[in-house]
Amino acid sequence: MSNLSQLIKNEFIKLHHYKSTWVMYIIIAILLIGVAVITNFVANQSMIIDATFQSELVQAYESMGLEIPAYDMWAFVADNISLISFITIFIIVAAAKIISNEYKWGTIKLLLIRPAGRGTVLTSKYITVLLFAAVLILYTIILSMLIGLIFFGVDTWNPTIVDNTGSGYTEISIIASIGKNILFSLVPLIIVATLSFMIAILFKGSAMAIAASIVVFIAAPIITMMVSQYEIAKYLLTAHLDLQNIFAGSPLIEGISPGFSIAVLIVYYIIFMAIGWLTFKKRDVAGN
Amino acid sequence: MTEIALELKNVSKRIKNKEIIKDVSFQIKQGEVFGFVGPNGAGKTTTIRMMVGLMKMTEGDIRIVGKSIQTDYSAAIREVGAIVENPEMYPFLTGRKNLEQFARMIPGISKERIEEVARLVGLEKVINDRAGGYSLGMRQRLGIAQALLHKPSILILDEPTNGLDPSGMKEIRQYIRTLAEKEKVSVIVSSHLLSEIELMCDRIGVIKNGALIAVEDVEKNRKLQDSDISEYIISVSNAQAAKECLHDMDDSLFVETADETTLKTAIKREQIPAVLKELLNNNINVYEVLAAKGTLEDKFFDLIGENVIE
Repeated sequence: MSNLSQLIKNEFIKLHHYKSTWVMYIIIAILLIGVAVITNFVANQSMIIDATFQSELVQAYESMGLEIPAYDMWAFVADNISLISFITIFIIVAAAKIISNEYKWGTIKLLLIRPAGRGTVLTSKYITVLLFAAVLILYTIILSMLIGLIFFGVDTWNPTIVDNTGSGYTEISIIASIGKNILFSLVPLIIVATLSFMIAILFKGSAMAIAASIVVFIAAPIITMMVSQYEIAKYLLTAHLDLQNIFAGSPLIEGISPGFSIAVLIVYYIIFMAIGWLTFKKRDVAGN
Repeated sequence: MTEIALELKNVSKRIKNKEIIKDVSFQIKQGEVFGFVGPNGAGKTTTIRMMVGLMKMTEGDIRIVGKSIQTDYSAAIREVGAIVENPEMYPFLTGRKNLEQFARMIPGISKERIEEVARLVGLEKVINDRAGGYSLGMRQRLGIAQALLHKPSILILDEPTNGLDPSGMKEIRQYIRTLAEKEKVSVIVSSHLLSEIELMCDRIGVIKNGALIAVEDVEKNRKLQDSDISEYIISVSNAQAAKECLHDMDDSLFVETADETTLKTAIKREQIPAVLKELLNNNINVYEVLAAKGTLEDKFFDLIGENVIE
C-alpha cells in the first residue's frame, strides 16, 4: 500500500515537471480572469440576467415570491463550472501522456522491473490522472471564488436559487446546485479519461488516444444524431455523456432514462478498464 | 559449494510459431561475471527481457536466487538490477531526481544510498544537472547507478560499454570486476563485441539463432593459449622446401604449407631459434614469424560461422 502511494508521488512529480501541466493551470487562470473582466466591464448586468433567466425561470421566481438574485461571486462560480469541459480535455491529454511518455522514453522497462508489479504501476498512473482532475477542478473553484469575490462581491454565504431539478422548479441552495453540476460533468470526464488511458495503453502512443477521446467528448451529440435512426444508438457511449439533460428529462435519444444511462456508462467503464488492465498486464514489452 | 545466482532451465520463446529462443539452459554462480555474446538478432536481448519479466517465456523457467520469475515475481525481481537495451531515464529530471524516482519504487532505499551510488559511478559532479543533457557515457553511469540502488544480487547489463570512449570502457570494466569480487554481485553482460567481453568476464555464453551453442571458460582459454605448443605462421621464400627441410630436422614436428610462401607450424617457443637457424642454413629466406594465437575471437567465429539470421 505504501508502495502505491510512493508510485503516485512519483507520477505527480513527473506530471508537474511537464511544461504543458503548468500551461493548463495558467490557461484556466487566464480564462477565469477574462470572463470576470468581460462580465464586469463589457456586458451589463441586465443583459446577463436576461440571458440566464429565461422567462420560464423568471416566472418560477415570481410564483415562489422570491427576488431574482444579483450577479455575485456564487453566480460567477456557478457559471465557471462549465470550464470542467475544458479540464476534461486537459485530463484526456494527461491520461494519454502518462502512458505514452514512458514508452517514448523507454522508461516503461525500468518501471516494470520493480517489485511493485504491473497492476500496481498502472493503478498508480490511473489514480494520478483522477487526482489531477480533482486538483484542477478544486483549483478552478477556489480561483473563481477569489476572482468572483474581487470583481462581484458576495451577499450571503449560503444563498438559494431556483433551479430545475428534473421534476420542475424548486428552491435549492446554490452550493448544492454547483455540486450537482460538478458531479454531472465529472462522470463524462472520468469516462473519456479512462477511454484515453485505455487507447494509450493499446497503441503505446498518445496521438490516437487524444484524438479519439476528444472526438467522443466534443462530437458526442453529432455522432449520436448521425445514428439516431438505428436502435443501436441507444447503446452508444456518446448518447449518455450529457447527464445534465438526461436528468432534466431531455436526452439525445428519446426515451432514455437516467437509470439506463448510468447502467450503460458503468458497462463502458468496466470494458475500458478491463481492456486496459489486461493488455498492460499480459503484453510483452519489446522494442518500440 | 557456490550458490547459484541465476538459473535458466530449458527456456524457449515462440512468437507466432516462430521459435525465437530455443531451449536455453545455463547457470550463473554468485560473484561471477558472465558474458553473453552473439551476433545482432541472435536473441540476447530477448533472453534478457525474459530474465527480468518484461517478456513471458513459452516454456521453461528462470530462477533468480532460487525464486521463479514466473510464480514469485516480486521476490525474484527484488534481486535484480538491470539496464535493458539503453540506459533509460526521465530527460527533464536531474540525475538525482531520476535516482529518487527509482528509489521510491523499492522500499528501504535511503538518501545516503543515493549519494553513495552516485559517487560509486562517478556522477557526483553532474548529479544536479538535467539528465537530458547527459552524454552517453554519463547516461550509462546513471543507468548502472539506477540498477545498483537496491543492492541486487544480480546485475544485468545489456551492452554496458556501448557508446563509451576507451577510458570509459575501461572504467566500467574495472567497476564490474570490483562489484563481482568485493560485493559478490553476479553480473551478466551482453555484447556483440567479443574482445570487450573477454576482458571482463569469467565465462562466456555464445548464442546464435536463439540457441546457446557454447559456454567458454575465459580463464581456461587463456591458460590454453599460454601452454607450451602454439601455432606459428612463417613467411619463407619457398614453403615446400622449408617443409622438407624441417621434416629432415625433426619428423615429429607439425608442419604444413598454407601456400607457396607460407608455412604453418606448431612448436614450442624455445624451438623457434632452432627452426629459423635450420631454415637459414638451408638457404631458405625467412621474412616473418607470426604467432597465430587461437583467440576466443577465432573460436567465436568458428562457432557462429557467418552472421546469418534465419
